[in-house]
Amino acid sequence: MRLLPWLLPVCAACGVTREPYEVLASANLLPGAADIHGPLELLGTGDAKPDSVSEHMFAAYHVRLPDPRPRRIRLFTAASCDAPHDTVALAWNLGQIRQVGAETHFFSTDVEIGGRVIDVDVVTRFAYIHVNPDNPAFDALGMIAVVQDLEDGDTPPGPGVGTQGAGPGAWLACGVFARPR
Amino acid sequence: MQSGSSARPAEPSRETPPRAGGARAPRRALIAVAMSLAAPRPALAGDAPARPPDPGAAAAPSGPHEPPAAEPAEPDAAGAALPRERPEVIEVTGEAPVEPSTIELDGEVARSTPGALGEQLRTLALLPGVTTGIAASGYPIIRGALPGESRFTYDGIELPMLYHFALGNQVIHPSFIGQLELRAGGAGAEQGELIGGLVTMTPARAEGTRTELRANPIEIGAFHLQPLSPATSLAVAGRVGTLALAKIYNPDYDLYYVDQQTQIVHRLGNGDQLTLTSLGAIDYFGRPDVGIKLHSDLLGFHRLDGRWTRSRDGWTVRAGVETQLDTLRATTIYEMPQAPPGVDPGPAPLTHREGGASYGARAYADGSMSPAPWLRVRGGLEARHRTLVNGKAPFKLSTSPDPYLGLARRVDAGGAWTALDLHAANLTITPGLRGDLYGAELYGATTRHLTVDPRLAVSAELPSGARAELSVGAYSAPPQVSLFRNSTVIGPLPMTDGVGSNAGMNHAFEAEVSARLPLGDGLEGSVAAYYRNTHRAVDFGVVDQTFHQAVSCRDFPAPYRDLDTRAIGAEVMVRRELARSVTGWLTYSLAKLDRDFGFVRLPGDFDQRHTLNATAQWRRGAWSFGGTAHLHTGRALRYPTSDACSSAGPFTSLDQLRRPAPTWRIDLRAERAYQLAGWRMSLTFEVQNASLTKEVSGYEVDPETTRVVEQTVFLPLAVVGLEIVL
Repeated sequence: MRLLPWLLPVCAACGVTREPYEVLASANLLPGAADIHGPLELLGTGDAKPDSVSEHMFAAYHVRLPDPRPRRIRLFTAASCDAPHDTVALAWNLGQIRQVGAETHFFSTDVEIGGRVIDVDVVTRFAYIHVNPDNPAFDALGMIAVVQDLEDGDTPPGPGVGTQGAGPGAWLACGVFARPR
Repeated sequence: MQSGSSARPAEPSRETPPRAGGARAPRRALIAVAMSLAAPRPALAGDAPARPPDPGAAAAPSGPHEPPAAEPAEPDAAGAALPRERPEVIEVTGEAPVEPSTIELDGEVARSTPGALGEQLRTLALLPGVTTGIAASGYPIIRGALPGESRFTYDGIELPMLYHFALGNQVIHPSFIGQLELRAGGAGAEQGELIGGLVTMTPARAEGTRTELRANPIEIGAFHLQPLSPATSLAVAGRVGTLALAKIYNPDYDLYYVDQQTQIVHRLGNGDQLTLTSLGAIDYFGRPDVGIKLHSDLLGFHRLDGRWTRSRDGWTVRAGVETQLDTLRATTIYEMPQAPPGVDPGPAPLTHREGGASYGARAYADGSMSPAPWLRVRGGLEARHRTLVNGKAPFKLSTSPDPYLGLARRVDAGGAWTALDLHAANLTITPGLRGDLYGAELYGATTRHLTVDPRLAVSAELPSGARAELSVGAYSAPPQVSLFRNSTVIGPLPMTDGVGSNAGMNHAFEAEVSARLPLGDGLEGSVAAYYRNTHRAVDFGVVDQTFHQAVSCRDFPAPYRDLDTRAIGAEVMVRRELARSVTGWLTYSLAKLDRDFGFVRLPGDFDQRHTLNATAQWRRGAWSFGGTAHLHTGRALRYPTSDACSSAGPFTSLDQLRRPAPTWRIDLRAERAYQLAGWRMSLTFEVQNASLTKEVSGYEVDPETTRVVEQTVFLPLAVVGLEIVL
């Protein structure tokens, strides 16, 4: 192991980013009806020349939930979390999030495997959301992220297809998407 | 590392190293063939090849550049000395395989194995623990490790691709390969960034003057060996090929490939050795398409390795530098409407470019010494850098833009290792330790990982010449790409260094016990049993796979990060040594591979429980005949099914699996050698899949009948080859 210091100059010039991925935008969730906080992150694609309009991955690693109870997280077209709940339009339902150790992950629910119905930790979630003002319908910078309790008959993750209003259920936490500082 | 001096280029640290037992004992078996005492037949193409001198050659009574020693006389009945008949001597030299789990194949034997079509690497599929994605061709899958996770080296130089056009000929001229070795598991501390198997190719003997010309309907090639001075030798080889069959299919297709190999070995006056090796290969595939004037793919690499080696009594040291150039590009030129005469033709056709090139360098040094008869100390250092200039990725690992599958723009890595060979009676204990630092700069992120891997091997010399070895160890590597396309899997692949490294490192724990024992009558047996648990930061076998969500009638992507896979198996091989009229081997592999998703455990991609191979070559006069039989049970393949909510038709889910019936295949080969004045020629005819077997590669739904039908691969290949040795 005395040889290892010889290797350090190899990587002395390279820094390590705080996260092993690029964050294009994040919604910093602030507590509403529950003590839920932390950033919901929209990640870069890792491409050398990324498409300006494409799917992107969402990560909730740093969202802090107060208990193991699952919640849903949805994206609405709105300028701020103060917008009246019936005026926002559902842009994308990202589905269920839960505590996994010290992190928060996305889950796929009601998965039938070998005759059993279970929920699966899929860690992150893809959505056709990006950061591009030329495509405002799917531009994260005009959206808010809202955490709510699950409801019976929740639709599976997917686009909002013009659904108007946030529907019933308190906003447990909310954040406005912005570029990272 | 080798003991003693060596006329053969020494191998850098990524070669199969001496493990248990310390430096490999020189092996120089002189096998007298009684049947040809009086009239030695001319050398045939399939004969045991000229081999490089072993490390002890300088001290041997008959070194490679020295005249042979006179045959000793033996007394007759009256006590008078009679000249003894000089037997034909086939000299088999090389390094003794200290590790019983290492399987070595002579390059010429591998080349003439039926089904290999003259390419040694295809013979790997007939060795225990190895399978391929498709029929007899394709990249080797060693004990279930994806091919990109295994390492393939030529004289210590790691190859970033093995075959032209994924399934074509290998990128190294067969005459350039002296020996092929497979270490399926249990690699020593010398090997870093490796969680799969290790395949090493060593150079052919570099002495004398020889020219080989090869031709078949697909390619032409040449190999030339030339001493430049008493201390310097040059070996050059090259091949140019085209897939003529594709041109028959579509004359607009333009496919060709080129590879070259050059090695210069120079021995200094003080016994030190300098070796310069150049390896390169390039594939080009251009074709038009609807609205596309030309779409072309270009894939290739080049390695230039310069090495200095010094060996003295009891110690060896060497150092080298290697440059690395890779390219993987796709270019699309779109058609533009023809402008009428006299009208400005307008802008140039739209050209879309993907991929790029990478430039790298690697430096390494290692050495060994024996401070006491019971101890040998070994150690080494290596560092590498690579800069990748990427456009858009020319290959899609996933339909979704996942940053954890992102390309790297720069990779820096270094490693240090040490190992001790402790000898006690018939036992050798080899503890080893390896540390690696891996850093990558990706698009939007950087990552750095430090890993420390302890390894231990215990080998024993048993009665009757048998040897046994137990090895356990930890192995770490960054995610290494394997591309899955239909039934084929390709890896390693140029320009994929660093992909997915921000997801973390792969880690494996492996235990293996193996033994090798002589069975008499020229037969040798080897057995091995192993267990390997691999935690993959990215499992490329799962990328873009889906599970079906029956309750909601939706598919969801299978999680492919942080998965565990387990491989457990046993292998048996019985082989007959060289210099017999009938040679060959029989192998049986029992394997169980599974992948643990956390919520379900499924069979691995190449969970092929039983694999049986038998190959034999029979030589009679100038003729040589050979046959290979292969049998394996079916892998678990995705099977379309339906449920209450699949009104649109059947779906396939990662957990809906079915195994097809066992598959068998027969390959045949015949060779006729001609000895002519000053040169010899051989004509070969070989058929891969002479049994015309269709192999099930998957299941699909017939759109007309809506019934599930088997997807099959039918790949019989016949090759007529001509080789001339001047």
